[in-house]
Amino acid sequence: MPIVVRIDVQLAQRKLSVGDFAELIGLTPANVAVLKNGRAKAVRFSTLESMCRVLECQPGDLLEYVED
Amino acid sequence: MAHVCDALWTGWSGTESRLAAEVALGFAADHSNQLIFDRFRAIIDAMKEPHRWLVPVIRVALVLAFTGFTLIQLVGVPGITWNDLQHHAGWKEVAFVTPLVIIFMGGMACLQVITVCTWKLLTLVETDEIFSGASARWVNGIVRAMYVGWVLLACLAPYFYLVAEGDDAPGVLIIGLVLGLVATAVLGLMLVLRELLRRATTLRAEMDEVI
Repeated sequence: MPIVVRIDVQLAQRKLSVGDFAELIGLTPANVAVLKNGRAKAVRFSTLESMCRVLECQPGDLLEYVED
Repeated sequence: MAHVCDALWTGWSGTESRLAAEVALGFAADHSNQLIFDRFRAIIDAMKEPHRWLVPVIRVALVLAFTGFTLIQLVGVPGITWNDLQHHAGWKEVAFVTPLVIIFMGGMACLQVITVCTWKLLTLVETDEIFSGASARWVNGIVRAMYVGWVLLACLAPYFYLVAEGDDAPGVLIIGLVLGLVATAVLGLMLVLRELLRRATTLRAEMDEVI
């Protein structure tokens, strides 16, 4: 997928573990892993919203378009 | 039943997931979609309460129906045939009655298959698996049984004609035609429902991918 989800960078900056992050945004760790590994096909706006809230960032900081 | 509907349709009725669905499936967030979704939510909300007792009631009805079909098949048809042959013996009567017996036994068998398949589908509804590939098998079973039943009914057509001619009762022919039309309509409806289920299953699988 040319759309990359850059949560790992944000997580590292805020020193959050994947498990804590999953709990904060109300997803299962498995789904967070899917997002992180770029296997996600579609994301709810509500998910994006809570990720931005927890990581205090903009959607643009999380999503990136990369040419294949 | 209620939580099945819930599981499928909250995806459509909740504002957030509605947006997600539109993003995922490329729907435009226009007003007509909004209306359709709101209507779905209203219908599902209205259906929630009665459906709590609906499944057990259908199960009881299915058991009764199955018992009825089995009784007709194993007691009714042989009994009537035996009685008939005792009063009108002869090879002509045997030739007349044998296909009838086969048709009725087969018809009852079809109804039994449909009953069992419906039972299985109800179980899938209860375990929230109705929109998975597992339901296709039983729905196909129902459709096949209906095809067979339709053919059996078509085989009955000469009898309607014979009775109408022999007893000078043209009404019998009309009854036969109406029966045929009803059977065709039910079969058509079943095919439409199967297609609906197939699409809902695809949609559910797609929604499950949304994080």
